[in-house]
Amino acid sequence: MLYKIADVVFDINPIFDYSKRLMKEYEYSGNLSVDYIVEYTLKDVEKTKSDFELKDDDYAENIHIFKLISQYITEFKDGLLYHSSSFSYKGQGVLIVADSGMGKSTHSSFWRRLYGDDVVMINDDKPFLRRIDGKFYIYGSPWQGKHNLGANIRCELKAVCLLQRSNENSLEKLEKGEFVSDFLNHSLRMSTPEVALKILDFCQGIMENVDFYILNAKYDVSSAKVCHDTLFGEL
Amino acid sequence: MKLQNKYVSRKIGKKYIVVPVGNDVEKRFNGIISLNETGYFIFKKLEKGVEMDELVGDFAKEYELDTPFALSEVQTFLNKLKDANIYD
Repeated sequence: MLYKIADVVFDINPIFDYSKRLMKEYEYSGNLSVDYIVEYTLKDVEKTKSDFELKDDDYAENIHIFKLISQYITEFKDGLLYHSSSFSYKGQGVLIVADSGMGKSTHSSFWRRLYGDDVVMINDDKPFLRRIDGKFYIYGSPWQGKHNLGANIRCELKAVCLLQRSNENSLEKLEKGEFVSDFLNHSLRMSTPEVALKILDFCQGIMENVDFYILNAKYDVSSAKVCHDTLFGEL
Repeated sequence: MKLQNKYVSRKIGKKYIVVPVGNDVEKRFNGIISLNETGYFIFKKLEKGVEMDELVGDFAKEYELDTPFALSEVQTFLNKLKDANIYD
């Protein structure tokens, strides 16, 4: 079965139904040639299951597929799986970055509440980022987080917001090209020097080409309004 | 004293970024080291290989520090690299 994820065509034949169901939206029947045949055995799945201390085989297979796909995109497709909540606002991509449990998804939900259909969720947990012809894009992925929010779409990345909890709302723009350690810290683990250099190069590209902000956010909808008004102007 | 070959480095913006690499990095260390000019001065020396006395001496001279202060700064820095597992 072919799947197109982040504009990369994968040939994957899941053993269990769980992965088939999860990736259904990404099935592909077009004419592009296959970039990567995702091959593995039940033994590989068993290893992932024990490495990550997982309970179920079907879930372990899914994590295994996820791992192979993200490694391939990092190594060969100038991209990265990036743990974040992402949405498009009137066609412009916004990435909300924070540690787990800090309220990325909640902040995105405030945007949806305030701006309705102008906000389209790309992926609430694990979107792919890619650089194509010097431009950076956010892509949906089958791994959409606990609320299962996202779509099989892509959108040019306009802004990266590093969310911090605060008693006051504000959005401060960082100097272009400045190193943002919190951004790099959320990228994939650096397994080999080659992969680490690819990730560094990719992150450097984003830091030099995309606007970065520190988003100090209260835990209510007012934080989305402040963020929106600074990024896109008041309605 | 010399660094282990388990990292990659690159200049981004005004910072020098040092990233520990390896499959078990995540279990031991979560972070990425960003160095300013001073840190990078020490780091470059360690990359080449240097004795402690010489390193502290050069560092003190370059930044006009007294030796005890330079020594404590170097030691703090080395501990940071140890935590990142790129220096034993």
